[in-house]
Amino acid sequence: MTTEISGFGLGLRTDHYADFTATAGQPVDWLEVISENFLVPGGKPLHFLERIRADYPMVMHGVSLSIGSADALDADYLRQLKSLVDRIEPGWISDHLCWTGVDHANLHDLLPLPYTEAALRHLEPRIAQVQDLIKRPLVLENVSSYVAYAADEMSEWAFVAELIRRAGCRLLLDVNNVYVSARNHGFDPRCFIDAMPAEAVVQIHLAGHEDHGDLVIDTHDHPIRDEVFDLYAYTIGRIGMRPTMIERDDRIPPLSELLAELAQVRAVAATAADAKRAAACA
Amino acid sequence: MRLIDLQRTMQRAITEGADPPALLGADGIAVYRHAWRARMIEALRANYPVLHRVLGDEAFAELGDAYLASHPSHRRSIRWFGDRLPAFVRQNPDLLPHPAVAEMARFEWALSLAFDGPDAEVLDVAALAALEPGQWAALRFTLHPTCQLLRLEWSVAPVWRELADAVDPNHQASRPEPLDHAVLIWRKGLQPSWRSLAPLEAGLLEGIRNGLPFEALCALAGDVVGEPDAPAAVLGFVQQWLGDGILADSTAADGQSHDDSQPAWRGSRPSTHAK
Repeated sequence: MTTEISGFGLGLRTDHYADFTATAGQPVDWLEVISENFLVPGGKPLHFLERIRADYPMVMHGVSLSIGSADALDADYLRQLKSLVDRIEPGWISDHLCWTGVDHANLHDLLPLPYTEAALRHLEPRIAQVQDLIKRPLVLENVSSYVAYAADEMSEWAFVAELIRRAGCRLLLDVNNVYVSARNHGFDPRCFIDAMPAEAVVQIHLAGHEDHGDLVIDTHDHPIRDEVFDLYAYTIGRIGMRPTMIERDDRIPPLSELLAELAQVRAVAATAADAKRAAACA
Repeated sequence: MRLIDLQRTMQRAITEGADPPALLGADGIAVYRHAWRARMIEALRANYPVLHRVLGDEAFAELGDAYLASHPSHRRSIRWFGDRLPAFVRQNPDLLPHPAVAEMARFEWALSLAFDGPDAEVLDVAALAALEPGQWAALRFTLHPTCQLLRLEWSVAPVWRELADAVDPNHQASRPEPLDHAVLIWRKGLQPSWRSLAPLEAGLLEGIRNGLPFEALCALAGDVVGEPDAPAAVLGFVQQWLGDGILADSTAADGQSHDDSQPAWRGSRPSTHAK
């Protein structure tokens, strides 16, 4: 099984299991799976996961680590996660820079953290705990957010960059989330991209959102919007090519539609990378 | 404010509805509040698709709200949300239009558990053929780990099938009749399956689960079909169970050992999305 991740991928969704099992050669370089969907004893999910893993490199993407919660990390969850890691040998393991609940509740949402020194100090040993378990750097994704905290002491990008520096984790840069948060909080999304340490970015997410004017909502139920493609091109121009994928979670279209959208992503990335090379030679 | 206090404040703002000054952006809090409720009810609906059909959107959402208020999720995976719904509706019959609906919830949750419960090698007929005649009396079978035996008081299974098969989402199901019976739910290959059981078969499967050897199963059957016909009757069932993948090969290693603080045959299914 190859674990090498490069090029362009998609999130594996049940709607497309048949497409991936019928044809080993779909034009997708790798797949991302939601870890929690496979933390089950057996049956169809693990059956299809293993069949498809035999033909495609995968990365694992979790939603329940709750790395930023004031609660202790869930040891049972970590044990199950590790067992799935051993089973499918992912290129890397990611989750979100967020919290999902406190006092043992789980809201099953990716809630933003306050951008404070105290939060940084809280996160650092927890990330170390996970990295010790999975024996590799943890990859964390920036989330989209709709509120800020009165207690914030720094910008989100300063917080993320500092966390990466201190904890030695890697970044799954969700360009759509940067765009959504920038609109909701009124900052220039390019400031965020500019502040990211390029060497720490291992993966990029793209997705669609809903634009309600004053509020932009990260819905993952539409194709990628032009504004996000532009920011993606800017990102590639800054940090260079990175494994990139489309996240589609609702109103899931036939695979052919996502493949067409992925071809568009490839084209945007190639153009941006060419421009970067040309600029470097000039 | 300490991190834990800030998180408690935000959690309460989402689940109980408040706009505390520590959070900037009242519209934003409303987005989280709305998304939380919608997500949880959708997860419940994914676990109980037929119950949703029986109740309709509005009544199902009302039930979902009541359940969410009394049983907020504490699990890492949203797929488990609804694990206590059968008990909850049994204790709150006023939330349901008909007492059979509580059994429908039980039946549907059991099916979802069969969906992704543990894998196991099924017992092969060749393994039995290889037995010496003298080995049969003490032989103990093992049920496939996804096997669940439900005792029901209403004819919910046929109504469930009628609704699950109905193309029209507004299909009005027949009213369940009172019917004391047992239903076996298990996974055949990758497919959750079920069938109603006659009392003898239910008794035998329960006996197997309780560890009774073949000769004790024959004694059970003897009470119904008479002693001389008992071994043939039990063997007839065994043959059917072999074909249906109901018996596991107890000598083979278990598929995967996931302990999700559930009994060994548990598992479930709505899928999670990331953002």
